[in-house]
Amino acid sequence: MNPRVRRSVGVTETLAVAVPAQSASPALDFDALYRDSRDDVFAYVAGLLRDRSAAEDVCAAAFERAYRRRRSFDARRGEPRAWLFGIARNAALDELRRRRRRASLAGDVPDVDAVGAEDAVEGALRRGVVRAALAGLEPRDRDLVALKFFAGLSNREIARVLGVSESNAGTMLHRAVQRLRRACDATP
Amino acid sequence: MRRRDVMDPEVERELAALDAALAGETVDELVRAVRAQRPEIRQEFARELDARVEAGFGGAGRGRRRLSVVRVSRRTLMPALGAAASLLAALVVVASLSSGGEEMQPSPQNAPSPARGGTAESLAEPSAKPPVTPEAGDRVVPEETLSATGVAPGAARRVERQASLVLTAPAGEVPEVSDGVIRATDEVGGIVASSSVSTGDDGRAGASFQLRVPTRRLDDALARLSKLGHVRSRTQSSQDVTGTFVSARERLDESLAERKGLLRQLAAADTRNETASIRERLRIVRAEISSARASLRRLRIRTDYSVVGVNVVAEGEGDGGAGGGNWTPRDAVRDAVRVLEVFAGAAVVSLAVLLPLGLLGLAAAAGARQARRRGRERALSTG
Repeated sequence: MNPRVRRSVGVTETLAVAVPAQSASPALDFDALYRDSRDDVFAYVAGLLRDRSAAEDVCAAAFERAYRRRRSFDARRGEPRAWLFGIARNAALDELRRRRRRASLAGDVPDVDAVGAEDAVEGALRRGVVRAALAGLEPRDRDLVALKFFAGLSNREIARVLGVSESNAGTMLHRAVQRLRRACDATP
Repeated sequence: MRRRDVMDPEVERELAALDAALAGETVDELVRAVRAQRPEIRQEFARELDARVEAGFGGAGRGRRRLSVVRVSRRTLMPALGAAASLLAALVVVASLSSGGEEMQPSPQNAPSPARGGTAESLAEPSAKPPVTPEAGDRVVPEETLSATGVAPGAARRVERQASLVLTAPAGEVPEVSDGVIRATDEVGGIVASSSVSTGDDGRAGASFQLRVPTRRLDDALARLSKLGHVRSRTQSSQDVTGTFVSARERLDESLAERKGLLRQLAAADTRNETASIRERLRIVRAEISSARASLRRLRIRTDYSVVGVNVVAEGEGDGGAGGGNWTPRDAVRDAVRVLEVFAGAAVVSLAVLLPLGLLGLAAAAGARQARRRGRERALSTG
């Protein structure tokens, strides 16, 4: 018979903490997701569409769509943010398609309201260069830049949103950033 | 072999640097400038959106809940349909196996033996002519001599007889009783024209026979058959066909006499026209003789061999239905199995129709989804 082995000595106090139950597919906390992502979603959509008014409509539609589909969210298929941005991206692309029917996207006038406050001439000049470079990017590159710089998604989340592998998403992002750098350098 | 999903180290380094700059750990002018371009949400719009979210978008989620459930279950629709189809098919097979045995008609065991004169014709047509064998005690007599030997004055009348017998036996003894029926038929010189034997462990076991038994030994045959099991019913009927027989025989006699006279006339004919006329008349008479012979042959078979129908029923069979009696739990189980059989069969047929339609629908939905996705991506490509 094995004698009982004392594993702890000198223990004077024991603290019991309830461990939350982990389910295979935890329910989506939509409110928390909304609070965490509202501004990012808007920034992404506005950066992609370059139209504040349309971005507000698309952002609201995306959240409403996500709210309706919140029960179909499956944690095994990705993070909640990636799921939400996938919905937002689809809504934004639908808006782009609608706009394309009305007029060419290339003819869109950049939304001046989207520019932040200019408090210094040098900064303003620099931002103007970047804004022009962003405007000159291909929509696909602008999509990636908006996901990364405006929405703050990780490469893995971007991969989920785009439906590609993480390395593929990283490579695409890298190329987009390179093109953005070149565009900035080329802009007088 | 699947390619490894590996990123270029240089790209990986630059992405790491980008992440560090975005996190504020390092300084990158481009990152800072681009971040400065980040569109900020309008506070008024943010408050409106907050209010809409708090209100649940006017109950949008509740109204679409059912659609959401359908969407979720559609992912598992195919495996579920496959499982259901397999389950139903298995159910049908099990139910069919449990509900009875195989039908044998006729089996080599109970088919008429060539030695007994049984032929395919006799099996296919119960009323067909049974072969006459010396063992049957019936001499083959030329039709021309029937007037002298077949229905001689004072001879027995021609009577066509039929009998039917329903025997009951325990389900396990049905095969033995069936063997006994064949054996008894052989012993009286009869033949088994057709047979059907069902075997099974439950009350569905049974057998049915159509026998041809020499009429003169009909009573003997019925006595032997009755000993094989419990006689539930026994019926006999007879029909006197003497008049028909005599009439046919007289027609034959007249035709034969006419043919004889015509042959004499033919021998004495002088002219070609006379010869031709007699030959034509001879052709007609020969046809009449053939018809009369066939009638006589059929009548003789019907009267010389009696038709005996024997049904062997497993004990308990039909007690709850047509046979009356109590409706036992065993009957209930049997009925339940039959209901399941019918239900499962209908379900399988329905699935056979719905499954391809469902697959087509899913394929169409997948195609539409793919097309929508491509359309969205095109908005980026050409925008």
